[in-house]
Amino acid sequence: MKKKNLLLMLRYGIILIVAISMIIPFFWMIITSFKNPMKVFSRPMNWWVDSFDFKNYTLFFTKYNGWNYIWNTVKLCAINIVGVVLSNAVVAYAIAFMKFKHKKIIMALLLITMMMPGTVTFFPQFIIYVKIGWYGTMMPLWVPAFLGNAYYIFLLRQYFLTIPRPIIDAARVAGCGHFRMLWQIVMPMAKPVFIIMILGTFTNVWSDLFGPLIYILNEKDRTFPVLLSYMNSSYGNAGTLPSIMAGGILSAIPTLIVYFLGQKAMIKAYVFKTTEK
Amino acid sequence: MNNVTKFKNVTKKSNIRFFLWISPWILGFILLTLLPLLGSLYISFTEWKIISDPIWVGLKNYKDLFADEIFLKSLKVTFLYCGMTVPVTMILSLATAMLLNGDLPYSGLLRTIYYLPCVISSVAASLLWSWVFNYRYGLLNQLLALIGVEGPNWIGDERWALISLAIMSFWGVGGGIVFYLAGLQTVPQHLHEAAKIAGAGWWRRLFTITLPSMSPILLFSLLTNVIGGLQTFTASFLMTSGGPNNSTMFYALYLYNNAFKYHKMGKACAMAWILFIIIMILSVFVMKVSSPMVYYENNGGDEE
Repeated sequence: MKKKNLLLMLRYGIILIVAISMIIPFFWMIITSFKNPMKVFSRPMNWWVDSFDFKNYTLFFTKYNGWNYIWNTVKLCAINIVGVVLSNAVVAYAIAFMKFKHKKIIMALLLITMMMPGTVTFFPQFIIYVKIGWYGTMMPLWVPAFLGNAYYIFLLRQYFLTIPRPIIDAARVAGCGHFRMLWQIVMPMAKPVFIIMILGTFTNVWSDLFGPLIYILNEKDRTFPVLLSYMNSSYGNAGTLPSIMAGGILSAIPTLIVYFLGQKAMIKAYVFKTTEK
Repeated sequence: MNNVTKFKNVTKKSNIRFFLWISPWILGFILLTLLPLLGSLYISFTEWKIISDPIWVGLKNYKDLFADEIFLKSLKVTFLYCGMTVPVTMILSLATAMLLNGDLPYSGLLRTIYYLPCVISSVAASLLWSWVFNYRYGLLNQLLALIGVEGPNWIGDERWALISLAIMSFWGVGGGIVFYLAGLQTVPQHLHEAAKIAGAGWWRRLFTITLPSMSPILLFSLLTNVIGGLQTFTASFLMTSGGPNNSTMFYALYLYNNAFKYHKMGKACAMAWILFIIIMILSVFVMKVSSPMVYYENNGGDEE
């Protein structure tokens, strides 16, 4: 019994030490966001603030026009989520339930697309967007969401196939069409995967820097991460650091909420994915 | 006869419907994968400065690249980085997931703390770490000074810059933990119980039960980590711009520079294709080598 307690303490000890070292930079970030810009750097370090002062946060909204960029990003997230849910649901439904002789070829192509590294296609895609005149518009940032995502199609298809066949057949016999079947029977039963898709898409779009950095030319249309990077490069000195850290914390809040919302669905969907081959 | 044509028509109709339903993905596959891939293959054999028409130059871009010192260095830097970070990241996330697994008090809170670094946007994280690595005011060197060690000029020093970025990447290790935790739930508990009764120790059970039953997850995570590592970009782009002396010039960053800074379209496309081939070879290699070691529970069940 004694040995067991010792082991538990050791386990806790390791976990805590790592946890603390992970949280220190985060803590500094929060502290800095409340600091007077003149007093950010000091030696030895000041582990607390002289007075809690929300000035850096108000500056973020007034001087840097934060709301505008947050709203841009929210809009982009929303349209991407709509696209991802609609396109992948339809495609995965067809692959899972409709008859087609050469489904194996489709599955192979899906797997190849899944393996395709983003770095490889990013630049050629850029050339295509330039050629069809989408460069400088928002189109490259949301149209692809409506064109399916191999990874999500795969995940959805796997999940769809676990829906008990008799339910599907009964609905078919009762004269349920494909669209109704997808909307009223299949989609509600695959809720965890849809939650993952929605939250995953939100996180990706919310924090994506390079797509918006390259495709958005109009200063007013920029997104939150682009604003943060410009705050650094165009005003880059210690004075703006507290405001950038304030922005960084604000941008982290939605991602954190998403994490809390998604944790259960994530474990549900992935446990399924790895066990039900 | 009549029935056969009727049947054929039905199949034809259902085929058309099938293609209609998957048409979003087909369009995406052609526009976003196939066309870019083939187009860039063509461009990689040309010299093209966007404004004029591309000029066919054959293998010149590829030959130039392999004579280009920065290109070779970027390959070396990227592989070195992968070699440093992939094994450590995998072992760290697996170990933490195992420590956090089970009915540990406050495990939910602890899990959240481990995940915290992943919610910080890459820009804020890069700025934060630029400060941590700051020679004079940075957290690391001030802590080292407490124990009387004078720290290096982390990201400002050619010898330490890549190591600094690797250290920074370990901060985000918590992202993989959720995944491994899910994997640990799939380890059959009855095997553990049986092995315990048979007197197998912790290490033995780890190597004969836990790791083998998690092998599909480990393989998947190895592949995604390697592919992700080969595409490392953000930290070097925001923190070091590849320097000092190209010691953090990652492959993806050099590709980006060629495309958007020097406007050498042919060279950038050639780089994209070389990366594509490297990743394909590595993936096939990893799959081949690991296939006898990966254990799928359900398949095993079929054979019994």
